[in-house]
Amino acid sequence: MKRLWEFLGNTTLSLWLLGAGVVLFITGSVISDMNFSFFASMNDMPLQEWVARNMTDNWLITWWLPLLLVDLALLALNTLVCTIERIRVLIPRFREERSFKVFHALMPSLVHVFFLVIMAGHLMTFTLGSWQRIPLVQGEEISIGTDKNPFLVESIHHEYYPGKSNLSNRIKQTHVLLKGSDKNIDISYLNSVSYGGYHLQLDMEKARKREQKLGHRDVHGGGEETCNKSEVYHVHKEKIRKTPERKLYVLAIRDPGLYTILTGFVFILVMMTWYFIFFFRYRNNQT
Amino acid sequence: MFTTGNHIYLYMPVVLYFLAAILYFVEKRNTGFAIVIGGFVIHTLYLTGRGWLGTVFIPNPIVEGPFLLPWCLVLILILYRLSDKNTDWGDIFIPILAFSLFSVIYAKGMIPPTPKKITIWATLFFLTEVMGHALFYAGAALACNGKIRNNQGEAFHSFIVWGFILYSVAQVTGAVWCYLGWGNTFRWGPRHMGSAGIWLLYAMYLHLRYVRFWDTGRRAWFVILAAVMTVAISFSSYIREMNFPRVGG
Repeated sequence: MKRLWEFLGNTTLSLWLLGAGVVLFITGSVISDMNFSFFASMNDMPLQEWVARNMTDNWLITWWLPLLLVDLALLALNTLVCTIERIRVLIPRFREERSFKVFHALMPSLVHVFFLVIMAGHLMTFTLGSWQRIPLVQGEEISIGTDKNPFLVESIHHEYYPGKSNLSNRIKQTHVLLKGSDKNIDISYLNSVSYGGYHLQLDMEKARKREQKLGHRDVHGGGEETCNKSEVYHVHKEKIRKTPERKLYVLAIRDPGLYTILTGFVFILVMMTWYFIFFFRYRNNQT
Repeated sequence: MFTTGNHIYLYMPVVLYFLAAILYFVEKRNTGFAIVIGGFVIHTLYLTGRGWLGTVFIPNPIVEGPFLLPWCLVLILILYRLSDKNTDWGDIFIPILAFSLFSVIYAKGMIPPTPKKITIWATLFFLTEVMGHALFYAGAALACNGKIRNNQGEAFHSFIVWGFILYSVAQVTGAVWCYLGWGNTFRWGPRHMGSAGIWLLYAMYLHLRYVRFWDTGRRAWFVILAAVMTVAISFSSYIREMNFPRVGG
C-alpha cells in the first residue's frame, strides 16, 4: 500500500501523465479537425451519453478519448497524492516557523488544489450539464426546459454595420424579444440571461445539415462556427450566399461546473502570479 | 487612420528590425536598440490602423496572431534590454525576424467578424494568447543561443514561466468568451484541444525542475522542442485562415 502511495505521488509519474496528455490532446485535435461535425455533437450533451451513442461504432476516430479520460483521471490522482504529501511536510514547518518562506513554499500545493477544483468542475460540466437548443421563429411559441409557461417570439431584430462601411450588410448584433405571461426576455449574442435555473443565450446555425446532405466534405467547422475565427461562415461564403437565412436558436444551458471552473482558474492565476513574483525576487536577491 | 491599409507601415519596421539585428551582431548595440524602438513605434501605428479595416473600429484585426506576434516579441525584447543592459537581448531577433517576414506575406485584410466575435473577451483572449506564445518563443530563442554558444544559462526559464501565466490567463478569458458565445467553457474541437495540449506541455516543463534527470541543458532542449510544437499548432490555423475572404487591407 505504501509503495502504491509512493508510486502515485511520484513526480516522474506526473511527467509521464502530462506528456501522455499532450500527445492525446494533440491527437484529438487533429482527428476532430478532420471530423468536425461528429465531435461538435459532444458539446451539446453529457459525455457519457455521447460515448454510449458514438463510441463503439466509430472507434477508429474515437480511440484516443477513453485514453485521454483515463490519463486525466490518473493525473488528478497523482496531483492529489503529491499535494497531500507536500502539505503534510510543510504544515508542521509552517506551525513552527510561521515564516513567509514556508508560506511561499506552500503556494504550489494550493495551486494544485485549485487545479483539482478545475478538473472537478469540468467533470461536473461534462457529466451533469445540459444544453437545449430551441429554434426561434418569429410569431411562434417556445418552451424553455421543463417550464410549462410558453414564450412568444415577439420580435427578431438584426442590427447591421453602417451602409458605407466595409462591413455593410453584415449583422453586428441580433435582438430577440421573448414575451411570457409574466416576464419578457430580451436576448442577444454574448449576453447571457438567467431564467429558471438556465442560462439563455442566442445561438445560430448555418446551413450545416443542408450542406451535409449535399455531400460536402466535412471541412473544418462543417457548419458550426467556432470561437477561433469566422471559419465556416466565410469558408462557405458562396453556399451561404445562396441560403442567406440562418437559423436562430435559444441555447438553454445548465452547467453545474461553470462557477467551480471559473473560481478555480481565478485562484490559480492569482496564486501562481504571486508565487513566481516572489520566486524570482528571491532568486535575484541570491545572485 | 492614416496607417489603415497602408502596408508601408508594416514593411518599414520589418526592414528596421533587420537593420537593428545586423547592428547588434556587429556590436553597435545601442544604435541597434534605438532603431528597434523606432521600428516598434511605426509597427504600433500599423497595428492600431488595422482596427479601422472595416471602416468602423473593431479591435479584432489588431490582435490577429500573425500581426500581433512579432510586435509582442519586439515589446519583450525592449523590456528585456531595459531590465538589464548587459543581457543577450539580441537573441530574440531570430523569432522577431522570422515572424515579421511571415506577417509581410500574410493576408492583410480583416476576416469579417460574426456577432459572437465582437466582445472584449475575444480581444483579451487573443492578446494574452499571442503574448504567451511570444514569451515561449523568446525563451526558446535564448535556450537555442545557449546551445549554439555552448554556454547554457537559465535566462529562458523566466520567459517560459511568465508565458505560462499569460497563456493560463488566455485559457480563462477564452473560457468566458466561449461560454458566452457557445455555451461551453471547453469545446471538444481542434482549437481547444490543441490549446489544452500546449498548456499541458508547458505545465510539464514547470515540473521538470523537480526531476534530477532534467538539468538546465535538457530543459533548454525541451523549451526549444515545445516552441516548435507551439508554432506547428498555431501556424496551422494561421495558414488556413489566409484563404478566408477578407475585407479592407
